[in-house]
Amino acid sequence: MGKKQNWMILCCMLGLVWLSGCAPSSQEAKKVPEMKVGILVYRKEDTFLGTIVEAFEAAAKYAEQQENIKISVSVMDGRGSQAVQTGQIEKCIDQKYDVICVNLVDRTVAASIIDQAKAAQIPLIFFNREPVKEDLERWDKVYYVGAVAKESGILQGHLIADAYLNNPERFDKNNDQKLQYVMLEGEQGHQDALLRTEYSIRTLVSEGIQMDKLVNDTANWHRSQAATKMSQWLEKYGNAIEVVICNNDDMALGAIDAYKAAKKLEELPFIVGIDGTPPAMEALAEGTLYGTIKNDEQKQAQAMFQLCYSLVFHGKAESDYTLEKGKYIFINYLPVEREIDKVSTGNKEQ
Amino acid sequence: MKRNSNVLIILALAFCTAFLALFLRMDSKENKPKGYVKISVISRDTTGDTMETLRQGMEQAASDMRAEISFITLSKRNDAQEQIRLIQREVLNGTDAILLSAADSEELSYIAEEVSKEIPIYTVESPVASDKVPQSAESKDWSMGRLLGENLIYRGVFGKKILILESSMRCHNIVEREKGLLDAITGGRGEIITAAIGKTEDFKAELTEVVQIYEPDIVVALEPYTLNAAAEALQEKKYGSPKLYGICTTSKTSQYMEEGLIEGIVVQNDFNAGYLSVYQVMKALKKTDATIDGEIEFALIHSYNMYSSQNQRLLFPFVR
Repeated sequence: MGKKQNWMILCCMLGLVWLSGCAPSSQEAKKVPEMKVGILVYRKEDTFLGTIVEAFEAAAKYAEQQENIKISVSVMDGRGSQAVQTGQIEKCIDQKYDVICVNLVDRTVAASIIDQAKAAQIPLIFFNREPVKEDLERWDKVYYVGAVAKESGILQGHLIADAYLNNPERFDKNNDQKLQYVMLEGEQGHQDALLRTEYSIRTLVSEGIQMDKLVNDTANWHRSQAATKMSQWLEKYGNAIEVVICNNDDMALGAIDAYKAAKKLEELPFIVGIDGTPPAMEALAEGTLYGTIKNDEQKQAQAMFQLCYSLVFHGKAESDYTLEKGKYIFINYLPVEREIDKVSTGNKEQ
Repeated sequence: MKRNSNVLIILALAFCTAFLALFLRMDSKENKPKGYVKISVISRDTTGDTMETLRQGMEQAASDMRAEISFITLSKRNDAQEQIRLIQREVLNGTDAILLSAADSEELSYIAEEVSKEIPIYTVESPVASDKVPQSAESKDWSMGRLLGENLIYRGVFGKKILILESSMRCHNIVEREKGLLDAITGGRGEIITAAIGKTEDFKAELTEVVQIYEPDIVVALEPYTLNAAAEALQEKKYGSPKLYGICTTSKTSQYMEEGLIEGIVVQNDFNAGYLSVYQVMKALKKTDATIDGEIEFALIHSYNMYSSQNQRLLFPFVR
């Protein structure tokens, strides 16, 4: 009987030892749950991307306070180099980030990035630059958040078409029933640039408006490059330019800069952009920018954040926004323009 | 007799069990996988803008020395209480070291001292009022303020009104900058006015009001957050056209200087300062044998010489 008791006591003690080894210490029990997110942008100076990052960080900060969790957000600048960005992705994987959000420099390398993330089991959320469908299907923990590029081109086309059809004399300076335009485009070969260019003109033509292209060229989404191009075109075409169509707001603002530098604000044609960035909204209020298509950075950032949060803390992708095919969240664009009755007097008041 | 020996055996086993349990817990902590040293950087700002170049230096050092930087900003600028909570959180979450830009040099000193007993903690940019918590680099703040003041005297302050915007005055580095500046310009023949700003949420509006009231010829901002806000207000033509000077920089500051909104800035090599801060931590943790010179250079840069090769190195450490 005594022997049996001793063995029982021994077993209980060994059980206690095992439990004390497994149980969290009091310090570990007070640890705050943590989420590490890498946000990799192709170029940090891009105004629109800056607004997405800012909105994401704000969402993260809010969640930290509400839920008593720690969210580390590391924003990395690809500096326009895919090699740099790939190095950053490797670093995120090495440092065991919980989720990585990527705005690709070169969308053709998405496959290799996905494979790396899959090997490390770290979910990937692409944003703003959409990889091809086949690449996104390589793994079930790859997602995309953005807007439909074609839609922005169509809306931009409608914006110009509606204004012209309402008041053709205001637009058509030489009264030839055609719109002489110049086009400032994003990066060569960039899917968004191609779609925006194509669909803005297609929409205008489908509305019965005759378009006469004076010139087009790429300014790589850059404000300063756009200003340089526009200055050159101003010298060549001068007042013949009736509309300046830009694939993004930064380039539209660059076009305005060129007119300001040439002291030709009174001859400002109709300049339209895409994104609805804060500087563009200011230019809209000033009367120098005619209109823009708002790319809703708040919703995009919210969608990205919700995906990150749910993947890390719930183990699955969830969002208030519709997750199409379990992978895509598309946020709609919105046209924003000056009131039409300010158009005829706005510039002259400058 | 048999019963006594059983009791002894049980007691011996209990002792061994307790010892084993203690050993297992200690051993599990020591053997925690440590590929990277975790360093928490706690800013006193709401965004990373004001520590942008500093952070780049930190990231480079982290990459070179296998450290992982967790960069933490506040929800409200210069909120000392939030910083205290964040420090406590980071320690509980097992950070290996802390780099702190103190929102309030006095208020943060106690918690920093307590933390320094457990893990290395250094201050960057804004120190704490304690000898037990070292700065990661020797402070140049007084000298930077003095350099700016000397330049103002050189350019002439006779009959001019100089407005010094006092923001973040609970940070000792800012106080030192002002001291250096005043040491240089007091006794010159300009009128010196100081105005405290940052009392309300609308920083830019407050700053604009102060400038409109005093109508200065020269405005000096002691930190880049205030300098950028002053430049933006000037851009929006909220007041006349005083000459704007400041100490330290962000990428926006360089842009404003290029546009002619800012006349001159004293800039220190923030990249090296950031690099050095991580190095100090790694050295304290005995994770590096390297020896690095702790001198952080600084210079006065004007819009007309901002693109000299030397000044570009300070303003734009990374070519884009």
